[in-house]
Amino acid sequence: MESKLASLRKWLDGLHDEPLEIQDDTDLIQSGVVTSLQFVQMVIEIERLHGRKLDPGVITVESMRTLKAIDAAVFQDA
Amino acid sequence: MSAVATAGGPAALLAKPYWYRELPAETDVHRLDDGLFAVTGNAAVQEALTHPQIVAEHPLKASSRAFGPNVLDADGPSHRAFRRLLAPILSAGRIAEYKRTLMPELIDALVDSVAGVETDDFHHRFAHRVPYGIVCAILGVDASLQDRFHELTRPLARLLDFPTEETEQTHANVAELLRLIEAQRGAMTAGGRSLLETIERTRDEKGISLTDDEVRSTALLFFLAGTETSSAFITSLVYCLGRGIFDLAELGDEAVRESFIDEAMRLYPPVRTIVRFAGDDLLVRGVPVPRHAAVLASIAGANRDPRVFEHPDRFQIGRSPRGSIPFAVGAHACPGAMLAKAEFSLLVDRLVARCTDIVVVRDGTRMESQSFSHPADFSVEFRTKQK
Repeated sequence: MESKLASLRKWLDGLHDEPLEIQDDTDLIQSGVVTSLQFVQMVIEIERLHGRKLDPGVITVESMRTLKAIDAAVFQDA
Repeated sequence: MSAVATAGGPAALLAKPYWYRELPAETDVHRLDDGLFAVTGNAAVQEALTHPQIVAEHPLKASSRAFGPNVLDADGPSHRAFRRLLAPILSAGRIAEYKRTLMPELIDALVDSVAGVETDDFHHRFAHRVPYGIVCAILGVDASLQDRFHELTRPLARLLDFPTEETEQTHANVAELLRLIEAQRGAMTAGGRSLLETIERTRDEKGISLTDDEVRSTALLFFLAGTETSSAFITSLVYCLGRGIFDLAELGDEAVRESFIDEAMRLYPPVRTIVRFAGDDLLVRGVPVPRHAAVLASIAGANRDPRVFEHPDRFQIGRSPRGSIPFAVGAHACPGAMLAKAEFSLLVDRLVARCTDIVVVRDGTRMESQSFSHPADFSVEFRTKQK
């Protein structure tokens, strides 16, 4: 079964017409992987993959900035 | 509910000034293809903006990331407490005082500088002068720093716009403005009456407890909102004056002038789109909106809703402003609305006293921005009585 992180990577990829190379430590905002509004919308996708509501304390810029940070703060912490 | 496919996605949609016209007219709440929700009709927009579970605060939104935690972006008790703190600074008595002591000099200087002039760049050359002068004085920023604040602040408007533009330059400007505000906080030259001094004096009272960072970022957002929205609308106001076929002298009558300004605000609200967030799973006009979803409320669409305004795209002095929401509604409605209207009224009064005609001599009919919207490609001539 595909990992949650791989699913999230696929979701981010789907936001673009051309294939993207998103490293685990790519800054999602600065690199332009997501727009400002997509960054907010990404929380919905993370919750869906996570299978339950995120603790509000987890939804911070630092926890959501890279795939590595999301994995550590959300998926690995489950 | 199936999503509305938008060519190029929501970002491309929001780049269109009248984006609400691109969406199906049968419904007022639309799910877009990125999972965002767009709200377009007057009643639906008012419902969204007053919905207790649709909030302004989101830790990932651009302004929170750029400016840091601030009370203007917050909801609930701290936001209400900050609004109470603003109240005396924006009270009717204080506005009357600004009209007597602060505005005339700034407005007369602007009118002097445009009289007899034709310009194709009113927004960048002239529109900022009055709002920056007023907001610097209210905030407690030294007047000598006004041009520097303008130079640094104007590019930041793109940070709050849609699509949002974040660059190293915008982040550098934020850092420099926060530094300047910190220096002004230390200077305290307004005799205790400025907003910065009031925040400093009461920051741990009245249900507010602000860190230094929150004081600075709140002051910066107040500054940006107070200057750039008014600059945008003054540009629209001049555009409307220049496009109208009527005797300018009619606007010497206060009631006619107020009606003119109300109609200009209905058609050209500076904030055309407001973004909020669903704090929980909820309904808007019966349409389910999931938790965390961004909700785009179209003030421009609400103000041109044909169910509320007959011939909604027609400029019609004397129309009832009932239903027009240029300053938004709900907990986050513009706290400076009365101040702004006083500023616009005095400006029109002085312009029509000085000019025989204000004429848009070239009109590219292009609008710019969703958050600080104004006509962006026109030339205007201020013909004076001496000509």
